[in-house]
Amino acid sequence: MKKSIGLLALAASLSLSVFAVSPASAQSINVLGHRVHQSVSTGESAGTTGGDVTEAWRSDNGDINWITADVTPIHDRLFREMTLDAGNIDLAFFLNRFVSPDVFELLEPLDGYQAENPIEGFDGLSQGMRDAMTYDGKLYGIPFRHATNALIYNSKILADQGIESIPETFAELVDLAIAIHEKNPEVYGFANHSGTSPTFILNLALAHGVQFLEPDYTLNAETPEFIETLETLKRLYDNGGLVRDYISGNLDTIIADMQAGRAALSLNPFGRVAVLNDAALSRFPGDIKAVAVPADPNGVTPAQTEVWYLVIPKNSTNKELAWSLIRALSSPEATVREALNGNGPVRSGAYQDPRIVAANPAAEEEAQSVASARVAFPGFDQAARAQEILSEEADAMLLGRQTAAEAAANMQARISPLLPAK
Amino acid sequence: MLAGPAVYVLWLSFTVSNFGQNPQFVGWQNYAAILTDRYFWTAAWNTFIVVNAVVYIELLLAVLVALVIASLKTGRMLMFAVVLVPYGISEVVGVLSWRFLADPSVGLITKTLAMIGIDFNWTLNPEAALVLITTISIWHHLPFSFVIIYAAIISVPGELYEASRVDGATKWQEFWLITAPIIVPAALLAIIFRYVFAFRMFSEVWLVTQGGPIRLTEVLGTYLYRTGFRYSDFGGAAATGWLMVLGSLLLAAIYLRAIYRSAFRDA
Repeated sequence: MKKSIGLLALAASLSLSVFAVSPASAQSINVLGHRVHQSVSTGESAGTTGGDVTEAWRSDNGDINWITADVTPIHDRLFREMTLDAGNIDLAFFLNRFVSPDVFELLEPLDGYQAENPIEGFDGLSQGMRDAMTYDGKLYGIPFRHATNALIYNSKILADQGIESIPETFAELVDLAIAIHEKNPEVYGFANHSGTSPTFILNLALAHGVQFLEPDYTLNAETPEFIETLETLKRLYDNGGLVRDYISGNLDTIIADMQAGRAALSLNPFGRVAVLNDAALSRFPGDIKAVAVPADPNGVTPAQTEVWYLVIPKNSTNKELAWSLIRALSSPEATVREALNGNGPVRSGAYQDPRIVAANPAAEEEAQSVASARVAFPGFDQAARAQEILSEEADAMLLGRQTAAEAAANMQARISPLLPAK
Repeated sequence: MLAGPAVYVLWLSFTVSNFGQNPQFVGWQNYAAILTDRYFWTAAWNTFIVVNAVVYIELLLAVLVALVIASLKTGRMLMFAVVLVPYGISEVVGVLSWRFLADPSVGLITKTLAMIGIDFNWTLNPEAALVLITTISIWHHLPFSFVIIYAAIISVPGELYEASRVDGATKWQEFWLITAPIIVPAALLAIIFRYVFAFRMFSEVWLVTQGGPIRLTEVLGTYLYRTGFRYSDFGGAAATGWLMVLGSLLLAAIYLRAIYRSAFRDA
């Protein structure tokens, strides 16, 4: 009996000792975001040259405890934290499509901080991006990263197949994706995926001249252009123009497919090129390049973008420190260095910086794409459910369970009731 | 402690709310929405199929393994420990390892099956995905059923077997007429617990398929999670939770009645 009590006491004291050594250093900040946000801020990805943008801030202020997850889990965690009396998240990265009036209620307005301790070169931050995070006259987020889609291609695979130039129209690009697989069945056309963020279909829709859901919440699922979009998706999938794991894949599988040469094309943000060319992981370092997405039938670049913001939860216990880190990450110099680490810069001036021009051959095309880009999916309360419905119905079509017209009709019927009143 | 959250969730199930929006009473609206949602019924059907497959295949395996180990003359404790190993592995690690082994492109299992002409692409085939999920669940929880059955088997008095051998009973007769009747209450107990555990199955499905493709492998646990934390529909998630509780209670009641009747049959 005594021995048992002794063991219990030992176990209890060990447990307590674990908690005793766990807390982070005296001054630290908890930052919630994607792994990409951490790597572009700290410069830890191989082959990037921007260095650790947070270094000076950390030496002056303390540690940054990065909490990273995939896109949906980030917001899931953030929303749950923000409903507590005192949250554990001091600063978070927030994607535009999760915005809704209810969410603004949980975020700290930033105008007061900006007035008291302004971000250097604040006016250089994209006005449109700032406007998208302004509600009821108050600013709730500072733009940090744009993810504007480019056509990413493996120049070596294309050259090996005798393809010398990138198509000028999107219709030709679709034919090329299928032709790549016909010439070499081991290689697929596009590496993209369905899932909770159906950016490929949305971009495909733009390339067919229609925005699936417009900023005023007009839903275009049953338009001829969108039905044609779904038919193109089906044609790609059935003929090797899309990877076989399109339905079950995720960002990791896209990166692996491109790095391994299992796919030759992808519609992905310009900034993704750095990791795809990572010499330590890619079989094609330096061969993977990015250009603007070829034009739609009207000659318009069908660029689609999403914007990540830095936000402070209203229940953060470290708001001043969070604002100080926002300032450090948002200065003109920080924006350039983060871009050198693979970030999509939210200051148009960054594209003229000689370091960016030297490091990014597609800088000019990227700047033009950003200028004409449209937000993929406007934010509203039920946006996550609406995007999943879009994927589900399209995937059901790909698996042969319904036609494109049926999928479009189902999307219209299921998503319409979720939309905000106009 | 138990009643407080349960009552709160019951109240929540009659409200509509999300992050940043206070609950507003809507009566039976959430229950009506769920019961008319085709994905709820897909999830309920999958749960029914998977849970029954898991519980009974696992029970059968547990009995077989327990009989084999109980009959060993040497190395019994070593084998006992080997069977318990899956329970010592983190559920997430175990499920992800299985997912890697069954990866459609590079998985060892998938490639081996392909060599004998079986296309096991569970990412496109919901039936194959459910088979994989069932297999993982059985693998991970077999030790639980095994321990209960094993304890029952070794509690059977040796004299009963000796007497049966004197009477010329075969091995099958020994099992069917002596072992089986004695382990039935333990088996029913294992079934109840496994039904309740399997009924709220989540990680096997979420980590392997997330309910896909096209939500055809969704179970009630993932349906609840998706409703609550993907769609921020707390009222719908709470209502789903209560429907699951009622389902579990109904199942448990059936088996508890069977145990009660078997225990007091001769009283």
